[in-house]
Amino acid sequence: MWVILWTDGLVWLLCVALLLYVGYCLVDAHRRTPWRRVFSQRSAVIAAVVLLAFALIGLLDSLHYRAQLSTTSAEQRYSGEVRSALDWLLPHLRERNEKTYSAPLATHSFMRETIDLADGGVRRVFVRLRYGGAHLADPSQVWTDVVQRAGAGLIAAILGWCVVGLYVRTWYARMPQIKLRTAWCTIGVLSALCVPVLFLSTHYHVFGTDKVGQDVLYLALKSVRTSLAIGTLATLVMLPLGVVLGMMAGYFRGWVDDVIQYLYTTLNSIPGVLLIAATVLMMQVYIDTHPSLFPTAAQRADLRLLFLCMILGLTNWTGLARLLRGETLKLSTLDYIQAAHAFGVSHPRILLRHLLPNVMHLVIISLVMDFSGLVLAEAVLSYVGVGVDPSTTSFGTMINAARLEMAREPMVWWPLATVFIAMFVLVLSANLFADAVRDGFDPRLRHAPSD
Amino acid sequence: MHRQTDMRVPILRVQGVCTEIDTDNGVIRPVDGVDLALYAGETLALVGESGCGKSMTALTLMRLLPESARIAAGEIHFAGCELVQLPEAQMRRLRGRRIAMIFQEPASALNPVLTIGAQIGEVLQRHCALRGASLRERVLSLLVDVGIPDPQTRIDAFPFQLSGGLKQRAMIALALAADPEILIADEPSTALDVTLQAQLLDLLRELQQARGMAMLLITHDLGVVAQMAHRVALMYAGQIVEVATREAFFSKPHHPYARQLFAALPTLDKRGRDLRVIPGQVPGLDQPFVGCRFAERCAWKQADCALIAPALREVEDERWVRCVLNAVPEDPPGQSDLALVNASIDLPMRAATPLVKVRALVVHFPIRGGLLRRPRSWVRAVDGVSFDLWRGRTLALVGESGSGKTTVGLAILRLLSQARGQIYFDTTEISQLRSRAMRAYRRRMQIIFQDPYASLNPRMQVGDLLLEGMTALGVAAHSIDRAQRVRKLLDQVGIAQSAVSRYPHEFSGGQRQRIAIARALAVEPALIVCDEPTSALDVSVQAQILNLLRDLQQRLGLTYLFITHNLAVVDYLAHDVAVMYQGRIVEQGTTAAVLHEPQHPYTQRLLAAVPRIEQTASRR
Amino acid sequence: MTGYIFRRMLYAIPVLLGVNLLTFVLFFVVNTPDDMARMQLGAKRVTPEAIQKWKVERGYDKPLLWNDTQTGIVQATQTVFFEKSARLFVFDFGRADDQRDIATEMRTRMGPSLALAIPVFIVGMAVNITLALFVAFFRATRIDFWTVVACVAMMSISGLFYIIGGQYLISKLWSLVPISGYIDTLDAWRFLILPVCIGVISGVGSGTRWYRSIFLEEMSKDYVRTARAKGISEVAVMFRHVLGNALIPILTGAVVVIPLLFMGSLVSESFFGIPGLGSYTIDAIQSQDFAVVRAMVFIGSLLYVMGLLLTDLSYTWVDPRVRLE
Repeated sequence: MWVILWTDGLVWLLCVALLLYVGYCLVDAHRRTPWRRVFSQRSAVIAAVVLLAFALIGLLDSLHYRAQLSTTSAEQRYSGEVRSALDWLLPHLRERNEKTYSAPLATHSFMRETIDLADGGVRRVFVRLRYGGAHLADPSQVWTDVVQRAGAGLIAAILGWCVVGLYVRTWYARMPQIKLRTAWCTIGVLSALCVPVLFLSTHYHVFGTDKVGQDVLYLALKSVRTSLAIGTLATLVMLPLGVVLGMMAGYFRGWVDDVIQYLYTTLNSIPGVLLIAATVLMMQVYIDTHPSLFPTAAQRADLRLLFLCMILGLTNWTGLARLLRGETLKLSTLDYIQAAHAFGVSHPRILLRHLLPNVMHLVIISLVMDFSGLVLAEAVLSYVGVGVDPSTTSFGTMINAARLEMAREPMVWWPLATVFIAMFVLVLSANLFADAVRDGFDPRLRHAPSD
Repeated sequence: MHRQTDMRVPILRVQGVCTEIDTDNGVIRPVDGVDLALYAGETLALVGESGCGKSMTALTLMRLLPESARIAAGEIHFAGCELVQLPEAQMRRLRGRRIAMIFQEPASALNPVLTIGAQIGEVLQRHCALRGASLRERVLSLLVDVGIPDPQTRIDAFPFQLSGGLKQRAMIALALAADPEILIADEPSTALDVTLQAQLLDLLRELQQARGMAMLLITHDLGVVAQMAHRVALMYAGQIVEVATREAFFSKPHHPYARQLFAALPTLDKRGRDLRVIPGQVPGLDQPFVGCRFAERCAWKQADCALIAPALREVEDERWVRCVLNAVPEDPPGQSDLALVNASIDLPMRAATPLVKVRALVVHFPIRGGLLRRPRSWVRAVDGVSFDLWRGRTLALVGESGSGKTTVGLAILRLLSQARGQIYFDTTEISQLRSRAMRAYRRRMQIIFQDPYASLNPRMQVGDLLLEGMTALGVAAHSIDRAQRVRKLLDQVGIAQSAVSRYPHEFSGGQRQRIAIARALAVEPALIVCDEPTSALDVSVQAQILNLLRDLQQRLGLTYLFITHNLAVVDYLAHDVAVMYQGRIVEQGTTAAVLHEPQHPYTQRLLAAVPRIEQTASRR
Repeated sequence: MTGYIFRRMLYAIPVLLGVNLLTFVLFFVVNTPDDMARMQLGAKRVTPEAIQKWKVERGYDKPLLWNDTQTGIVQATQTVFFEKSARLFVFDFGRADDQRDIATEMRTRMGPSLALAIPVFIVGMAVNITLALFVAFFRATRIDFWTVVACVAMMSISGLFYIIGGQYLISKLWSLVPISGYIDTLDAWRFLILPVCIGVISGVGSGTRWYRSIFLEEMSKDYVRTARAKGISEVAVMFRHVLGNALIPILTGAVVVIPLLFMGSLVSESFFGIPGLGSYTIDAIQSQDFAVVRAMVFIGSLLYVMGLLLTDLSYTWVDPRVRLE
């Protein structure tokens, strides 16, 4: 049975909107030009491919269902647990939990365990893991096995890449301005890294397991969806507020401007974290006192995520509004606005037809720029305790759970390292892409030398 | 302080200099093989239309190019050095000391957070090793030299505390501080009003004569050239096409471009006739050229002009021309008899009632302040203006910047909420009409703006731009009718039909101005307010627009309120003139009366300040 | 000038009123005090008496906006709104859940917060400006390119990792300074040096990049060309002309956060166990102490409004063009 969580619905809605926008850009050369400038930069192409890979994971993880328990009986029963398409694709990651910590690619437990001996005595030994490397008769063969499996994965990746590449190659010439070759190379590097990991993950915990024995790779993959949801859904709130209020303030001026400026000065004056904390606390009270509204844990966690996105949007729209107010102030003195007035064109029409298209580049730039900030903010907020629901897997909750593990002896470093790598790659590509978008849409702002 | 130098040996010699700029769309060559010689004590004017590379030539001489540009070839000889290869440290010793430069925009060329004194003093510290009291004394004397009143206080003023004219004087003081041998002046007076421009040019001429320095004056204004230059170098598409003494250049220009440029200038004697336009536009500098760069627009084009690039050669003493023609060409066939149609431009007589009657128009902008932002004082932009616009005639509203002439135009169209006073359109008082009732009159009057780059929404296709007014005001009910009208409008202004689905940025400045005219015509207005419609355009393009406006007026019986500061255009086009000064009209009447027998002292001052080309020989 | 300051301070009043109203709505209208009591007490002990007791202890048993049981002026003052929100204006924040006076607590915790925040602010600015100036001087070279790459990479690392990594490297691996803790004497530097360094480093990426873009924008202005035309050296152009102008946006942009330094840093204070206002806030959030959160919101917005005023004033100090009426 399909389950559509609130955030799922909105994420897919955003996807559809994005596709519509892409189509809208494709039909018109004029709208295509800035994007062509963006994708003529090598760093932008690489970043976009990486982001797309993350988006693919996130989208797969946004298709939720409840498994059918019995197919025989007339009345169908469904599991109470909500799973996603990602879980279905990678069942081994979700199901094969160890007892507790195990190091990456380990075959034995990380800490000694007490086992009863036949003679009644006890010994503390490293025991074999339940799943990690369990297929090996001789655990000392682990490195040979790992190299073999990784090698097989690598060969599979390269073969697949080459075969598809023969076909893709003909596209290069068709779109000379866009660095398609770079995109294809990035895909190659990505698959050369990911496919071996995937091959290994069926028999090992590639990034180890955490305190309760969950596969860290699985947790990291699940975190991607949370990050993407926060990075994109917050814009759903921010966009209409920022665009409408910012443009109205700049266009009408006078008392409208005063009211809107007062509104955003007031909102801005409350330190962001505190406003979010206060709102999240209040929402927590509301959820706790109205348990009947939220039947499953997944729905409760999802709603909390949605609320967090909305609050982040509410606190973030002021920046966009201020930017658009300034730009609209400048634009509305321009001659073409005067000319529209001379035709008696109505205010809504001037805002929509003349002003909005001319500030759109700023909207796109600030949306892309905000994404990485939102992803980073989630980590801090979850650490403070006002982020996502503790039951939601996210980079923030993972860091929060792992930060004390650095102090353990011997040190448990792999959960933190995995989060670090995943977040770094995501945020870095978001930042690089944002820079490229800014350069492409607003060449005047170009500062960084292009490579 | 006269430097006695042999006039035959140039102090600055430029040979085959090429400058390249890297852009997103490839390499462009704004300076492509320029040869120049500058003699001590002379003023050489480098003239050309925008984009011909004259400013870039100046920056090349100073080696002050932007980072994306470089000198690709050529030699610059000055003071026994070859400047292109000179190490930067030695070049710095020359800059400001022996070659100095003044820039076009005094407002942005001075450092906003340093005082005038500090900025001038810096040159003296660097090159003359002056310090302390002697430094200050020297700066003061420089300020006196450039005619800055009250130098004792002005020396400690920040640039924002000075007017535009004073800022440019300070800039001159800065350039002259170390007593350079060469002064490069890049459009020094273009940003200033005409009366200030005259003063500044006088100052430059005096300083140059007193100090005996050589001046390279870069300008687009042939009037300025006629007043200032000893010799003239005309630039086109990155190359020098003609070098001559001023007298020779103005009396019988040799290069076809020069001849056609003169023919395109609006003047009184061309009144009632079409200006001769230069067809086409300046070629882009990102392409390799094969033949003559002017060939496509040349009226004297010959068969091999497009194939063989002519060299700059000395056709007679002190005259160099880059053209295959050996002698000063005769008018080409078919051009000389350009119609004397409608020789009497003053045909439309004043009807019984004016189309628009403006009475006691007042526009005061509040300067708000205080707790509740109540108006504290008022800027009296327009202070009691009355005039009539007669059907089918052109009233030129003339004045310097800040005189309130644009405000008057906007107020008549009811685009300013602060306007007070009466405006009668066809005897109806429209100044108090609500927006619904006003719609009927919005159809009757339209506006064309100065800047063709700001007046068209860059995100709308040309077809939509033209349709907007029709839909908003309900002209032509059916979409088929409208589409037909759009086609007709484009035809009227001479833009190809394919423009309908293109965006404004694909058109040149002149073409955009035509589209703006078509947009205004779309609602069939009786009155068009033309707010400096040609002042952002080059001379050759200006001629096209002026011809178009005049032609439309005759065919459609339009009435124009022509707002301008360019008195030559007024002389050519307008029937009546009103002169504005500080928000009031100081003098109005027919063009002949106002421009040729001015009564008011301000009008006289204005007319005297306009740089004119002496009409030494008969020229068409 | 004084008139201007006075007017700006008057403008702060409606902003603070708005903040107050917002927090009141958030804390008392979205959820009733009963709801909050129920949640804080937990599911087990929820009896009507317990709720009533909880409310009386904290003063939430009064009507929200208007007290009909009283007469006269007391009708307006014996209410939750007046007791909890209006009193914030006279810095009477009431007591926290642990019965300590919030205002006193804030005063004692301000010191450690400032001891951490001020060095981070000053050293951070100095480092960022120096680096940015250095990069701008070598613009469009390899040094510039790689520094920008490094900045983007550093920006892409969550602040939490800087703290965790720094703590691990310095304290655990090299045992140079204590991991966390604080003492209220001059010896505090041993506890502060690590958080200060980490605070500075985590800000270098974005700060340097931002300042570099300001420097480059200034360097593209016309007056820089004029300065070069004078024949002065490139170093003199940078220091005498570009720096002076670029410092205007840099300083005035930084001034707005100066008052907020009092609030301390949420994350690093709690990581390093520094008893400042930041860790106070975080503790209050985690223990759901509404009174403290409300007080911090009020103080935070007050400081922000002061920051805006300081920004306006700083313009008049550094920019000769700006004169406040």
